Amino acid sequence: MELIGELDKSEPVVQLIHYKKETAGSYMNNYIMKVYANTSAKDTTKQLIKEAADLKIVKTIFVVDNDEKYLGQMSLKDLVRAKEPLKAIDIIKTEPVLNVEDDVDTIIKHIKHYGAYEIAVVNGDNKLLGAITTDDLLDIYRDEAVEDIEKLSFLPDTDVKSNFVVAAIKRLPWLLILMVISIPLAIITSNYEEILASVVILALFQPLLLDSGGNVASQTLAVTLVGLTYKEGVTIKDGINETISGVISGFVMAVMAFVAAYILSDLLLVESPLLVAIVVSVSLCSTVILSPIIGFIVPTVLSKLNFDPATASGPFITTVIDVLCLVIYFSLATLLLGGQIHV
Amino acid sequence: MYNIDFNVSVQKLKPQLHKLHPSDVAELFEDNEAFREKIYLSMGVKAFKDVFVLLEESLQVSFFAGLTKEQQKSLLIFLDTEDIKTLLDAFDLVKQLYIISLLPLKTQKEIAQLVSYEVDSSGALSSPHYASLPLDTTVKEATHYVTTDVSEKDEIDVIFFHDSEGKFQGALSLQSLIIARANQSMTKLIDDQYPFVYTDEPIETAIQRIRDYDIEMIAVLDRDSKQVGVILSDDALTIMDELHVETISQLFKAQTISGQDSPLKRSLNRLPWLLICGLLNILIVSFLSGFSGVLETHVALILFQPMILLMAGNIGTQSISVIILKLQKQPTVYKKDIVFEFSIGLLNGLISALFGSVIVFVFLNVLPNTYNDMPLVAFAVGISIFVSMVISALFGVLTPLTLRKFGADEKAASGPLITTINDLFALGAYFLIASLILL
Repeated sequence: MELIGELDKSEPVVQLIHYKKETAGSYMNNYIMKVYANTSAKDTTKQLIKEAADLKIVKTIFVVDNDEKYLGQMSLKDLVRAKEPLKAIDIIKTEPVLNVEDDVDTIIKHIKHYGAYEIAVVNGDNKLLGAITTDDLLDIYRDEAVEDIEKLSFLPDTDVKSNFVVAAIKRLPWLLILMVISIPLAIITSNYEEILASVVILALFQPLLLDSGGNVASQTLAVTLVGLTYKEGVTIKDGINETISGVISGFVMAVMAFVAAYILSDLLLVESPLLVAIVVSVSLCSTVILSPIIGFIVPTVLSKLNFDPATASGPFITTVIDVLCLVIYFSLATLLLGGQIHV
Repeated sequence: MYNIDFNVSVQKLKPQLHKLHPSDVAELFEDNEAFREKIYLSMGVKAFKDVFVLLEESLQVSFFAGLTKEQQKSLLIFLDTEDIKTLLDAFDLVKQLYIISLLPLKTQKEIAQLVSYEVDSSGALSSPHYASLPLDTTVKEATHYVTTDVSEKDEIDVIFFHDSEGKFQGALSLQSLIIARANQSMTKLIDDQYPFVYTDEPIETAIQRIRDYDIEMIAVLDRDSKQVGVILSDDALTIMDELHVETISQLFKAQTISGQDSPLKRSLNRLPWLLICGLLNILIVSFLSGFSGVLETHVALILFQPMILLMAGNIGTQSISVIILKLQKQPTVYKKDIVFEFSIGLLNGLISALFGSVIVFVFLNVLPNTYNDMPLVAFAVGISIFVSMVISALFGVLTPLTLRKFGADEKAASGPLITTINDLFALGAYFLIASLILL
């Protein structure tokens, strides 16, 4: 605190320290060129020449009224082309602004919608406090993009340099969590050991079912997560579209699985290839239909509840789908194949 | 979101629309199908072009096709060359030739140039709207040039300079030009170290340099050091956004990310991948059916199949993403990066294997059951977790690199296909190890 007191003279830096991390306030630059509405084009240029050495943002000149409230901004290009007797107010364009407390998600949505430009940052009274430059926007965007991919791949922050033991240990927690959540799958499977012991081929089709469910769900998840970063967000309609798409994919895949499972079980001399094929294809179809529903609902609900949808969705969705899939698969198998084999 | 009454006269609508940001007008345009013509008419071509470039590709195509020839011509005159190129990409060849015929000769040449570069290279995404002056220009002449001569489309926040042979010499910011005194010599004023990229360098390199040097625009040069264009930082952001969405969609093989597509189109886009993976999975079944024997005698093995698949899949995803993120940051992945990832795979594989064996052992002992050789099953699961995780981590590193080496997109490495191949190795290792230990 004492240091901040000492630094009080160099005001701008201190102001930045006061803003919360990852808000517009913390990203903005205070060294901007500000002129009043009535300043003439010529005086604006004079002021620019005087201040230029200290400025961080010069491409854009911000225009305020007498209460320092944001009115608009002009590019340097517009200024040099402006002729007397134009005043600042005549040259400006009013662009959308950010509030100093806006968080990084709002900033990302803003630049995705409006594109990148030098964005003015104002307080609740529309008073101009600073601006975020395009090159800072690039950095903000890149960090968020990398974070997205890291979260989807269960990775810690990869930008930090460290030796491989530290890096390995940082990545380990997710791996172990994912291992623990596979225990329920073992429990479920153990309940159906009778049918598995008699029709071993069922176990071999397990990866097909689990992978397909996972693939379809992660496709929906990716679409939904990208959708959530847009200003409009996602709607029920998107969910319905994904679900219908799941139904179509489900049927096509089921047909393929039916043919393949029938041929294979026949070749392997399984007792009732037709029933095995039915069990595999019906389970596959149900899983592929259920997966996009879960892949849509989970991230949407998480983001409504203000949890970060990217982090939590992946493992949660995988587990739910795997559990559902195995229950459907083994129950159906017991129902159709169980009775017949235990004579 | 905006209370705009489209039923008012064109004259009344005009000021309302001009107050809005082009992005917002673009949204209104997309949402109000009945009033598209009216929005276009009331804004005027010049203001509408800012909206037009923001529209979805399919809408750009249908709207453009609906205009009269004269309207098309005037819209094209206002569009930047790089935007025209984007528009062209959405049409078939016959239509492309027709549109090109509507363009002024200068723009035709610029388009021909842009088309000649490889997709996603810095050249292909550059803009020809920049200002370049000879090095012997005086400060006064340069100032006169930017204030009066320059065309409206040209970006002049940075002014570039070339020597008498047309070779790139450096750049001067508009700000420095305004501050400069009339008698200063241009050679001393300009920054002769100003960053540039070559046309054949990937666009990622250009973006990286814009970020590293915090510059407004980067010069794009051909291999003879002649400048052909610039890439602006705000365009870089748009490109970054596209790349990001592309990365995510490639990682999951979900081609339709636009959200506008019908369910049928979504399915058709994704089904090929799903089916390929399904078929591969069935191949796995046929391969593994040879191991039925060990599964029949030790049903417990089946219980831990998902665990092994998940572990191998997860570590593979981690290393693929690390490599893809690395490749977006640096031109290539070095040997030390591969060793680094491989060491992580060994270490985490080992720890997971120990953890996994304990889980399996406890699980089998706690749950009432009739399985035999429980310690051996736990041992087999542990070894298999280790082997499959190490293989998967190594694959995760090598696949993107191999793809890049053969000129394919490294992002295709991730996703279902590799998952399935990983499954094959993981389960193959599992059943083989189990057979060796248990039979």
